[in-house]
Amino acid sequence: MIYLDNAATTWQKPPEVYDAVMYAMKNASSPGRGAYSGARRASDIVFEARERLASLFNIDYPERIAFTCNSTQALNTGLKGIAESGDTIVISSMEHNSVLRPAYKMKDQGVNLKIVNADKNGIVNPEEIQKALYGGTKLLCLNHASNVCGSVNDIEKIGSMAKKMGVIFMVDVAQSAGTIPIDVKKCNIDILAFPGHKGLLGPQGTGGIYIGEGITLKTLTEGGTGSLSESYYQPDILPDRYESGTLNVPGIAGLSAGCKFILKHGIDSIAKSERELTKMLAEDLSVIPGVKLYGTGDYLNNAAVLSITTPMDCVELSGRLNSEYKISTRAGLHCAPLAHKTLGTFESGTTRFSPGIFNTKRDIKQTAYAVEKILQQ
Amino acid sequence: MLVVLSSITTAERIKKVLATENIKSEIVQTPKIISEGGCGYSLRLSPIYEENVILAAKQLKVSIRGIYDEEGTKNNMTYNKR
Repeated sequence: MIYLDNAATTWQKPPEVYDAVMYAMKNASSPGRGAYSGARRASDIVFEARERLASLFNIDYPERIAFTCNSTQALNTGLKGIAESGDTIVISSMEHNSVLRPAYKMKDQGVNLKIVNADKNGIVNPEEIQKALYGGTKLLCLNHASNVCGSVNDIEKIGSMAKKMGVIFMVDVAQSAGTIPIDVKKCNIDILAFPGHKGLLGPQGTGGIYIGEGITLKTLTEGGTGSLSESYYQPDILPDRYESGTLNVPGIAGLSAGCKFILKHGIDSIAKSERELTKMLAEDLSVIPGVKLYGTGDYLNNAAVLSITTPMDCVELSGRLNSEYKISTRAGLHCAPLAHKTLGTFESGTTRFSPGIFNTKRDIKQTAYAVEKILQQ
Repeated sequence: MLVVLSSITTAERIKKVLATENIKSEIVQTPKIISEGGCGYSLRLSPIYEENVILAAKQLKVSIRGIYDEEGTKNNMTYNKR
């Protein structure tokens, strides 16, 4: 089997991730819910995960990272926690439904929603963002890298702009966390939403949100935090304010092990490996008659995501890659309808290939060969 | 000495800073009688490190809910606020 759907979930994980999950299952109970050994072990696991994530994103205060079930929950927490009826939020046309859908719901509830169109390669022009921010914008929410074509936004430039204009800057790093360096200070990021199960190599059901200093979000959920239990109201202390209920300790243990793996091997070397595979795949696919590639073509700077159309229906191609060659890809709209409209692929959808750190050049060559053979038939 | 903190994360953070100064501390659940708001965690360590704890909290921008001397026996402990 050749797995090329790492943009959805990195299915193949480092062995230490599986071990960490199992260790936590067997040895840890509830974090922050007691001082006996099992509870303390759970707290230590969660704390270590927070510290590793803080290290990856250059965050000074690990307690400003709250764990969530996934990036979608983190994005909902940020969007709905900031904006109220009458506020203006700005997003781009390349956003995933995890941003688009909450934003549209908020629009229906009185929030002004501005959508900045990206260019035909999926890049959001910072100057267009700046124009959209004028007039009292509360929040700018952008993805770092497209989940459809891998294009990467200049979040350092945009973050600087947002800071100067006094706009809260939230970044969705679903396609870049763990595979492209991210520095919240350098990029002036106020809120960062990340999944655990993609580039950070953790299990499904993990993710988190970083909430910068000076930002307080309305809570989406309230409940037990193991702290200040006499109060009928949600505590303000972090991360407790945003972490009601028992955390997914085995998942977070796996995520922590994934982060450790990344810190050990270095994001730059992971990025280099994935990008070179993507570039190789793009070059091999581009010479196949009928194949059209989308995005900037700058594969050595993009996220490792490649979308193509061919004369064949994208779902048919993906299905045949799976059934005839055991190659896993993702076909359709990738939960990003506006992004596909931007790229001109809304009607056709695309077949998406997303290499990961455990893919090899041989995988790439076999994939290109398989696409060519299927299209020849 | 017991340093009462508001959350397990705060306790973990301060414990780690103290460890870098070779100061040993233990995270314990805050006794109900001094919990000031319900469940919480405290650091137990030698009273000679009071200033270190206060400095660590300032460095981390977290608040200390109270510092207590523990007196008596395990079965009959009293807590006197400093």
